[in-house]
Amino acid sequence: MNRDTDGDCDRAMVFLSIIKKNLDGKARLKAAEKRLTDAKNGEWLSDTDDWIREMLKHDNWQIRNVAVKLIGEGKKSEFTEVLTNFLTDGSQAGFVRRNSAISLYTFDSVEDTVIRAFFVGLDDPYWEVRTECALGLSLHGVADASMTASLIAKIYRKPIDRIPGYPIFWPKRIYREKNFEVRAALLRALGSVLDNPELMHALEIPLSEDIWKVREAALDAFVRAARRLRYPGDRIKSLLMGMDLTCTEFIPTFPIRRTFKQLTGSDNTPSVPEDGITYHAL
Amino acid sequence: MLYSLTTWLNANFDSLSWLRLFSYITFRAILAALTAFIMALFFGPPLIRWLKKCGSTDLAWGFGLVNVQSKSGTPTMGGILILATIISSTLLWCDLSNRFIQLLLSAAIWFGCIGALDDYLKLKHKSKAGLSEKKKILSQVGFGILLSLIYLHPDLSPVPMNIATKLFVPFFKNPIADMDYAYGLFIIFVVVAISNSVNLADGLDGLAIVPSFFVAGVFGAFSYVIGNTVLAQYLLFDYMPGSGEILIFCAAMIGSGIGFLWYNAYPAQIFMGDTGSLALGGLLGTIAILIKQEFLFVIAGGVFVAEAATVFLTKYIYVPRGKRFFFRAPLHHSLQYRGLAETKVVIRLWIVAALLALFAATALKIR
Repeated sequence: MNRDTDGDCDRAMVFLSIIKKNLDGKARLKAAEKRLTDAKNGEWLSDTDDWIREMLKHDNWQIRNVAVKLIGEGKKSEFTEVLTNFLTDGSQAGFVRRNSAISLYTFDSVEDTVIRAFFVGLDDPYWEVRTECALGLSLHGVADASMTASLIAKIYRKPIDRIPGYPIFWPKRIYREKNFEVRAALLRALGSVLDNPELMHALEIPLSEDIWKVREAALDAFVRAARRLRYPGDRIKSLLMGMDLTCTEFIPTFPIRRTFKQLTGSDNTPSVPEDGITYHAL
Repeated sequence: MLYSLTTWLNANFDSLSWLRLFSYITFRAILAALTAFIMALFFGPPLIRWLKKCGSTDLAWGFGLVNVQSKSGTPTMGGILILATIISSTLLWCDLSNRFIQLLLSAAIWFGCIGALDDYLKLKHKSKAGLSEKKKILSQVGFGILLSLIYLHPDLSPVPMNIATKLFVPFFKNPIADMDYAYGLFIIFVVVAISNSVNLADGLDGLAIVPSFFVAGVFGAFSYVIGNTVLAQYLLFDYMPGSGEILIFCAAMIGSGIGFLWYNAYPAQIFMGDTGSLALGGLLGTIAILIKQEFLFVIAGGVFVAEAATVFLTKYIYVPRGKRFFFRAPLHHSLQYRGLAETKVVIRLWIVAALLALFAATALKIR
C-alpha cells in the first residue's frame, strides 16, 4: 500500500517537474524574444553577451535560435566558431542552422573557416540552409577556380559545355538543384566567385529560366561577373537583348496614394520594397 | 416571407393561381440569387462608406509580401454585406418553417457574430490578435454542440433518423459506417474544420468568396437532388424531405457572393474579414452536415482544404521541429513567395476550385 502511494507521489512529482520545466521554458523563450526585439530597436543590454553564451547551450532549440539571431543582430564575430559549428551540425534544428548562416554572413568580414562552412551547408538536406549558405557565399565569396567548379556542379546535372543554348524543351531537367530559391541563391554565389570568362555559359543558361526570380538572380550574377571579368560588351548586349523580361509579379500603384504622398510629403503606410518582395535574407 | 404570402394568395384567390410558380424551388432559387446579388450591389457602396467612417479599416500586417502593405486602409468587416444579403434573401424566398433553413439561419448569425467580434477586437486593439484562438475555437465548438443536439434529437432533427448518423462518402452508393452518437463529435469537427479552412483562405482579394460559391453551387445541386423524390430515387440517394429548400439558401449565397465580388475583386474596395469568412465556412460546414455530404467538401472545397493543410502542417508539424516545408503558409502566400502576382494566384486558385467543383458534381451520377 505504502509502495503504491510512494509510486503515485513519485509520478506526480515527475509530472509536476515536467509542467514546471515547460512553463520555465516558455517564460524564458518569451524573455529571449523580448531581448531580441529590444536589440532590433537598438537597445543592447549590457549582459547580453553572457546571456548569449548561456543560451547557446540551452536544451530548447527555440531559445538557441534566438541567441543565434542576437549574435547576427549585434554582429558579434567572437561567436563565429559556435555559429560555424551550429551550421554544420546536422543535429541542430533547421531554423538554428539557417539562422547561423544568416548571422555569419551579416558579419562585415568572415574567415576561411566560415566560407568552408557555407560550402558544407550547400549540401544540407534543409533547403533554407542551402539558400542562406549560397547567399553567404554570394556576399563573402571571392573569385576562385575551385569554388566556381564546385558551384557549377551543384547547380547543373552535367558539365556546362554539354548543355546546349536555349531553347531547351525541359529546362528543369538540366538542374541538379530543384528548389528555385536555392537555385537563385547559388547563381548569385556563382556571380561572385566565377573566375573564368569561358565559364560564363553557366550564367547565360538560366537567363531563360521559367521562374523569373531565378532569371533575375542569373541576370544580377551575370552582370556582376561580366563586369569583373571584362566580358565582351557586344556579347553581353546580345545576350541581354534576348532575355525574357516579363514576369509573373508586378507592383500595384494607387495613383491617389502617390498624390497624397506628394502633397503631404509623407505616406501613412510603410513603403513597398522596390522588387516587390522583402527578401528576408538579403 | 414572400413565399408564405404567395402560397396564401394562391390558395385563397383563384385569379392569382399563377402564383403557384413560387412553389417551385428552382424558380425561388433564381429569385433568391438575383435578390441577394442586387442587394449586395445596391448596399455595397453605402456600407463601404459607413465602415470607413467607423474606422473599420484593415491594418498593414508585416507579412513581407507586397500587396499586404499597400492594402492598409481598405474597409473590412464586409462580411456584414454578405450575411445581410443572404439572410434577407432567405427570409424573402425560403419556407421559414423548414427546419433546414432555420438551422442555416442560426449558423449564419452564430458564426457571423464570432467573426464580427474577432474583427472588432482586431480593430479596437489595432493588432492582428483579435479573439484568441482558443476562444474562437470554443465558440465554434459551441455551435457544433448545439447542432449535434438538434441533429441527433428525433423530434428536432430535419434529417430522417434512419440515415442521420450514417457516414456517406462521395462515389459510394451505401454508407460506409454508422457512427451512432459519435456522429455528434464528427459534426463538431466538420463545422469547426470547414469554418476555419475558409477563414484561412481569406487572404487575397476574391480568393475566399469565389471558391465558396462554387462549393455552395455543388451543395445546392446535391440538396435539390436529395430533396426530390424522383431524382433521389433515380440517382440512388436517400431521400431527405425538405432538403430542397437548401438550394434556395445556396443560391442566395451565390448571388450574395457575386455581389460582394463586385467590390472585393482586385484591387478590393472592401474585405469580408472574419465576419464573412467564418460565417461562410460555418454555413458550408452546416450544409455539408445537413445534406450528409461532409466528405464532398474535401473535393469541392479542395482549395480550402489545401490552404488549411499547409497551415496545419507548418504550424503543428514542421515549425515545432525547427524547419519549414512550404515556402510560406497558407498556400496562397507560398505561391506569392514563388513570385506570382496576387491576381495570378487568385485566378489560378479559382480555376482549380472550379475544376474541383465540377469533379465533385460528378459524384451525383458516379456512385
